[in-house]
Amino acid sequence: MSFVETLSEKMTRQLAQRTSRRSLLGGLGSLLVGGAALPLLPVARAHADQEPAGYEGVAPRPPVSEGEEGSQTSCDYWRYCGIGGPLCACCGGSANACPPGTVMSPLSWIGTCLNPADDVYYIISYNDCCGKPTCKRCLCSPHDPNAKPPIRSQSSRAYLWCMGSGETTFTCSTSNVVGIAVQQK
Amino acid sequence: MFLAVLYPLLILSIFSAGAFAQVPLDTIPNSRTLPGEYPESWVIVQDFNYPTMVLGGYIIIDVAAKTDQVKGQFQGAQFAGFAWSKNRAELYVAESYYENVGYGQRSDLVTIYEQANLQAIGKIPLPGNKRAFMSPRTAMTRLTGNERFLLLFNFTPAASVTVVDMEQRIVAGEVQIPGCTFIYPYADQSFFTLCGDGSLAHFTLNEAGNVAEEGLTDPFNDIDSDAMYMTPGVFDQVFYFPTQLGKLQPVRLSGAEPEILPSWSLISEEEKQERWRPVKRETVDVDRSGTLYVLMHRVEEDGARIGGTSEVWSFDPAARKRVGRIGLRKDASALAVTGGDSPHLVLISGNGFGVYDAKTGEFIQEIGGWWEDATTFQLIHTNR
Repeated sequence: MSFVETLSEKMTRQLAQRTSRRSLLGGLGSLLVGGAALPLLPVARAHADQEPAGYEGVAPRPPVSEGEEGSQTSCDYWRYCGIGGPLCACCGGSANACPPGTVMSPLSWIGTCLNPADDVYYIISYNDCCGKPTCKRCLCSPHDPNAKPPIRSQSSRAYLWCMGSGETTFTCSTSNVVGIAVQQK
Repeated sequence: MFLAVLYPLLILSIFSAGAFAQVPLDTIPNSRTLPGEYPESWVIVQDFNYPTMVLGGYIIIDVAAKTDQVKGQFQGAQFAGFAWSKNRAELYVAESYYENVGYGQRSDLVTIYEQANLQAIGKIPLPGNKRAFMSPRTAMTRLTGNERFLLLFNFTPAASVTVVDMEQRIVAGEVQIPGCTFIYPYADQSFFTLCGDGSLAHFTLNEAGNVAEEGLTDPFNDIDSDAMYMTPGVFDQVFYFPTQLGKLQPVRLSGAEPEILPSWSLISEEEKQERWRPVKRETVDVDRSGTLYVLMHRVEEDGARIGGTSEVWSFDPAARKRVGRIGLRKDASALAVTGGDSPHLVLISGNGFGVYDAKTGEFIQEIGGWWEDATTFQLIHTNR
């Protein structure tokens, strides 16, 4: 979320990418999922040395499913490799569900993350939850080396993607498995 | 309740004034006003207010003053955009409101403020709720050269430009710019936009605010390998865009057709090895004499930031030569240069501002005092 670059030096680097990764398929106007789209998808990889594993005062939560490892409330949870923004798992939702009263935007940014538990790359849809105040917990946004200026909306960090949900205020971000990446560069 | 409290105070003050007063009595109520025209050392800074974005705002600051630097504030709600009319001495805020503050029916509008009292003196509803919600950029909200039309960037994600007639205070129309981003005005009523294939599309508006002429250049912006950042420094009808890898791409808009001038590198081979690069976003500006200022920092191979404090490098773009290198006291995220013969270099550093003499690089002062995490400063608008 580059629009919060000046919160602090640390937050700057984290937030600067929030909206980018949700830089979603700008021209398409709808959720793009599935292997057919894979060659077009940017791949975001977290920098393990840049992000905190957990947050002070935030208890770990088990992963969404048995086939995973890590904590939903930790920035290094494998699904979050392309995320940016407050984790919904810390804000009344979970890694794949919005908090009560918010609406999951049908527009999203797509990334590709490696699940260390099965060594398989999955396509992750980063859908924003919209309609309640912005959550101020568990800010997470790994560096994205593929980020572009706003001219390339599908790989820019500048845009907010709540526009498709009917609610256009931003609350937090989820990370949803939507497919298996059949080929990974 | 107020009367019950005030009455004894009034009695007390009357007796006190008559018997012992050394200090003149104050007038209540008392609100200050601002000049109808602001000095060139005044800037207007956007406070994005990340924790509560629906209530962002703008702060007026005199960066040359040694005290009493903050002059006033006004609102800019939910990803607001700003434009400053020098001819009419008015401030324009493109913003969005919700029926119930944070939710409910959304309304996009342009709010017009007069400069002296910062009162809203007009509101222009915007149709369609199309205004782009994104990290604020100056190129999202621009006046035409003659200040007749206000141009607003829309993203739904279809891209377009809403044209607002600021003399009649009505929406005049909309220009579709599919695949293109942002607004760069030139001449009286022309603007260009940067497109996703690396080209530039340009438009000239007629008196009604409709497109009278348009054109498209060949691609020149290498977005995949070395994309142009999208805030230029502008001088003498030339737009100077830094690129991600440290080139400067000039584009001249003085004739009927845009002229893509040769690019050149802002950094030497040695500095390339040291991985100096321009900082992204609002990090370039030009002073009145044509000196170009670029905020620079060092990055890893993949673009991740290396520790250390950013610097401001100044250039003579005509000579393609660096003329100064200013070390900053604090790391910075945005810069602007004020008008006048002795311009001030203003930088956003965390929750405050660093002010330097643009010509000499001498540190002048730091302006701070804002609540930690209460503000998120984004852009600096200068009075040039």
